[in-house]
Amino acid sequence: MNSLAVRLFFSATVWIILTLLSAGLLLSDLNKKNNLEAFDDRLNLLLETLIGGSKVDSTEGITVVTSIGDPRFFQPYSGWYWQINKGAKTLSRSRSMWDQVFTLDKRLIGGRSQFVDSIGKNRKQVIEKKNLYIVEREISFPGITQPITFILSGDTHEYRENIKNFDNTLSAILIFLGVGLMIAVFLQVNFGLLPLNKIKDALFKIRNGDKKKLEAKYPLEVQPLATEINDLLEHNEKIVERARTHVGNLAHVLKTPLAVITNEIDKENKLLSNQIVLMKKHIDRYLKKAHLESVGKNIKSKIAFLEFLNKMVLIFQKLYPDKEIELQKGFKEFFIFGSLEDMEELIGNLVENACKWGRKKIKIKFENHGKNEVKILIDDDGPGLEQEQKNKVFTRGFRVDEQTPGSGLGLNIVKDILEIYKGEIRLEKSPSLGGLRVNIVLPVSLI
Amino acid sequence: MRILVIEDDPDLNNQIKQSLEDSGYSVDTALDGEEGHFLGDTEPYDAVVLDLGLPKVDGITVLEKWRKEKKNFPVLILTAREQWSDKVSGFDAGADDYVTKPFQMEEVLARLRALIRRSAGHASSDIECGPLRIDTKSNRVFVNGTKLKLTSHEYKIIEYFLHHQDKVITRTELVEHIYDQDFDRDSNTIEVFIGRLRKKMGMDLIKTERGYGYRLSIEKE
Repeated sequence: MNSLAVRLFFSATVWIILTLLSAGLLLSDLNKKNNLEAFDDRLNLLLETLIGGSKVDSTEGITVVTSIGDPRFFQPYSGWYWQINKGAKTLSRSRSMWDQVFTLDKRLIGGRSQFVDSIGKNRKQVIEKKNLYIVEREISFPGITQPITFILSGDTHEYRENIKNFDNTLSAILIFLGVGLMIAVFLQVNFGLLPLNKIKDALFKIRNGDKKKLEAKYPLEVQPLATEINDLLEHNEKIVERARTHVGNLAHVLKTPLAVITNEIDKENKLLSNQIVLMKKHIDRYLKKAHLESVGKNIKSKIAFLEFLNKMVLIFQKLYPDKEIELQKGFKEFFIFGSLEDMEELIGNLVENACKWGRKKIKIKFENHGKNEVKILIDDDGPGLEQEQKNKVFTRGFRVDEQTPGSGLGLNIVKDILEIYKGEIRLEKSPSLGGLRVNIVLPVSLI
Repeated sequence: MRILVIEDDPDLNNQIKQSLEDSGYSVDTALDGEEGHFLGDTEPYDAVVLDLGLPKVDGITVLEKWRKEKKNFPVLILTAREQWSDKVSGFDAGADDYVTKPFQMEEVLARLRALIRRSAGHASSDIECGPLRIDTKSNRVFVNGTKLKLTSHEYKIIEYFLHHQDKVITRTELVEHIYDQDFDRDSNTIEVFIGRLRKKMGMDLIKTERGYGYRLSIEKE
């Protein structure tokens, strides 16, 4: 019962069933009454025909002059009978009664019409499975001392059959209607709850980090909720962003005094020097961590990658004037959909590593990799890496050489960026320069 | 060689100034971007050490303004931020090198030396002119392999000449690049320094260009 859809569907279903059931009962009852009335009218009409066709006999008896034409009154045990009595004495009866006689018991006296199960004592033998409807009338004729009782019965089979047919049709219609209504309710519930489902999906995406807020337009009733959620999300993000900025600012602010202290202390004072190195390490680590958080979250755009790489190479030529950086020419410009910050971090870290370790030369080449990917190869002529080191370089804080400055987080960030951009990285031996080859694959923007 | 240091932390600013002066540079300082930009705009510096996080006007803006005004002295930026996007925006603005805080002073010195050398078109830290050789790393000057004993001002002058060989250098230019802003400048002392340098070198490598100034050159007239 915890689902809104189930609740709505369940309550509507109960209501539909109750309504249809009572409507069905009501209609069936009404029909029964109508049928009964019609049947009663018919029998009364037949009775009147019988009375009208009778004539008073001189011997105080009754003679049927005109019999009822209906052949069922001649068929033995047809259920359609008539009988004329004078007191307890039977004056005349229909052929169909054959050897049976209506015994006038108390129930029938009083001019009421009534159902009876049988006529006479031998009901088992004769009238089995026949329900009879009996109408009866007492009439006093002039010249006859005792009133004459006219009795007429009809087989209710026809009438029951009518009711049964009607009931069957009615139930069929009502069941059909019910199912139809339930389908309609089901569709309505689903359609009505569609915006809520949309919100549910959107929230799931937000949780996964695929989306930042509820974007679509929602119906009037749900829109305030969506707006509120968006505000909350924005507020949350602002708080996180602020916290991250604070951490970043704190770390950055600490760096200047740390620089002052670094330069002021006696180089021989190992204890202080070590502590300062430790402090620097911690600060760097927290900053990089904060930075890792932001990977993939900056504004993305289409980046002309070769143009961007050219700019980066110019910077590295300034930074490492004694290293020769060769960028492959003539490769067709390709685009990568991403944030510039992430790409700068990716290429900055990789090319800086190559410049740091390379002796003289760094080569950057491109290859098409499948339809939608480009392979970027960064080769250097440095010492390269042992297999064991290759496995370790991507772990957080691992540094190949403790003497060379660095936080040991650079390649970690590289790996994280590539993971987010669905790229790959492999470390190989450079076939042309003999040092390390960094082999990265990046999906390109197709539009 | 005259250097401008723009750093808002007074202690760090002072430390850099001290270290640079100890290495034989004349140093002016500024504590905010506005003053720093003004100094760089009006005084002829050989290099600038520029912090990026500055009050009033930030370092990137200062640098961009200079480059727009065609000031092309080499600029070493100091930054607390290690992200590449920050470094790239520094280079985009026209920086030549960067040092991240906290740094060892030796690193700043080494990078400054390299920047000044490169801006003068020299590839190595040793600069030669005929028999004259200067080691900018250790601030030593040799003539035919013999080390000269020079005062700091004499060293500054000969270093400036070596960085600008075959160029006529006026007295004012020398004064501007040798003394910092606060120094009581007297261009007559330059003549005294030149005279002493010629004597110590034992040869007349510094020629007087009458009416213009001086020129360091090995060619015989």
